[in-house]
Amino acid sequence: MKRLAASVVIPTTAGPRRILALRHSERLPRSQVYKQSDLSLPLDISGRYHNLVGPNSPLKDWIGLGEGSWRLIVDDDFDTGRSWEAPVAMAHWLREQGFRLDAGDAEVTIWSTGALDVDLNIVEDRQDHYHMNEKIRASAGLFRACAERGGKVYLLIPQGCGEEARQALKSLDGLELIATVSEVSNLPRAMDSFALRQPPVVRNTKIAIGWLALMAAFLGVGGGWTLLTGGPMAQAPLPLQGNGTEQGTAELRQASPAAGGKDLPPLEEEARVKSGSNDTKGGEKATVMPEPVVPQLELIELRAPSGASCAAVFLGSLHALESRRAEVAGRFPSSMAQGLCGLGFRLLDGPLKAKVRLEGALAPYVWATNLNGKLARGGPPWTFNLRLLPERDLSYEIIITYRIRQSEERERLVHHVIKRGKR
Amino acid sequence: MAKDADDDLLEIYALLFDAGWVASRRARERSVTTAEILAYAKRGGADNPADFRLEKSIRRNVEARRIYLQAVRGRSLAVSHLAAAAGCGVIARRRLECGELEIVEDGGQHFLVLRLDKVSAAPRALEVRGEKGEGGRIPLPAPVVGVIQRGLGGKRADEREILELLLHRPRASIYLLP
Repeated sequence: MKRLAASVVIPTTAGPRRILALRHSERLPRSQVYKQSDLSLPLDISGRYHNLVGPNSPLKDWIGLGEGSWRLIVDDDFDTGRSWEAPVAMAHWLREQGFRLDAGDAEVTIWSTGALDVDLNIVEDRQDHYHMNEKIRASAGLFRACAERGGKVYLLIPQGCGEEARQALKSLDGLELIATVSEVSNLPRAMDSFALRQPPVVRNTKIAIGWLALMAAFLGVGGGWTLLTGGPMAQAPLPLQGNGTEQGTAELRQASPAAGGKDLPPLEEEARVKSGSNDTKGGEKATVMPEPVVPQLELIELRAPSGASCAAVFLGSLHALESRRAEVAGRFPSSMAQGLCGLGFRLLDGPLKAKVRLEGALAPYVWATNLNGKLARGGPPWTFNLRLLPERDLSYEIIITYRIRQSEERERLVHHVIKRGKR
Repeated sequence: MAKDADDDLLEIYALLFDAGWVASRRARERSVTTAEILAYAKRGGADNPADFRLEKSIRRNVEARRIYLQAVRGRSLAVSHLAAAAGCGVIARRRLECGELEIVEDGGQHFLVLRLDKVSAAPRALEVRGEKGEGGRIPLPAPVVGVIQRGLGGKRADEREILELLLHRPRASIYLLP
């Protein structure tokens, strides 16, 4: 199982410091920070670090860190101050989301600075305490190395530092193209927007223009998307729009009515029948109108756009390509594992509300809180990211619980994620 | 200084083998003065360079060791001369005057965990000495909510020796220094 890699950098005026590892311990009472070359004596900031991640800390409540303590290992010492708190909190959050903290070859680099208050707000820069310009210049080598291996850098910085950061990036000969600058005021809010696959506020005009162009391109071909056949993403690739899933879907429905909520695109059904797969019978069955109370679920596959990684989708800089699959005779058509970043479900018809539970081999691949979800008829989809890339065939059951006239009913659906072979 | 067993052995060695070499070696060891030993015992907690000449003297010369340990004991916050569970096997915990010392293994690395009683002043160094003067002094980080924790062992030979004494030698003396 290969986990997605991300590199978290603590910028200092003397150069960037990388977070090499975060180790959890059930036996040690205190959380500490160590330099890699000296694993005996903790750094002076260890006391503050313990307060940040220890019991009763806001970070622990927010991320849901378990009991026990942490050892944070960095590649070099850094001077005191508190601007390391935001990147360290980010590192914990990324680890909990299933990322591998990799200092070497990660294609996503988080460059963040800022002190945190008790509500996990990043303290604003009032008197140039953050030294943004010097820190960015001292990190030029790191940015260059990222650019050489085709990686991307996300600068998460306090409110009010954006202009200085952009100016400093511009002075680094084209390196601003690989960097996305986001001014963040509250860390959990920013992370929540990441988790929902919405991009952070992109204030870099070049990147924003690029986004608009990309969106326009998608909307332009929206009417003809059903004509695409053959590839794994060919069936109903729906890109998400910038400000939230629902809005994006609504706009796309306008552009292409065939993609609209309840009805399956007829071409998709036809394609499945023609392909002569095992689902032919099911396809016919699906055309028969079911009882209104039987829940009708739709599977949503989230994939990275070609050439991009799931990490970029996950962190919100790219929109996932969404394709939808209808349930056929108690099972969903199998999904190809390659490039699969996340899954989701939507309740098309049936009861007003339903609960969904995932059982089976999917458990190690999703975060534990994502094994249960709630759906509302015609409501927004419930989606989640895969925390690991599936490297073998998986099959799991989707158990739907709903109520009809005081009695609880259950339905089971099966879905396979396959590594290769016929769909 | 008083004549000790080492001296007897050296004399026998001198008669048998190389009188010149023994004489020069004894002269070097004798050159350690009481004032030097006392100053070495009073060195700062965090700033903690080991003086090999004095260390050698503490390990080989009973009198030098006695003077040194008396000075260390005089300025220490807490002393422990005997582990409670002085049986066989590994000694994971020791009760000190100002708290409890525990050696915790985690992920293949050893850690020293010192839980201080509420009223205790925080020590800044820990000295461990075996019966023959082996051991040394290591700096301690600042306590975090009443607990001092640091790695022990690792690549450094002096720390490995201290770890060995703490884990397997119930009669090793422990001094907590300000």
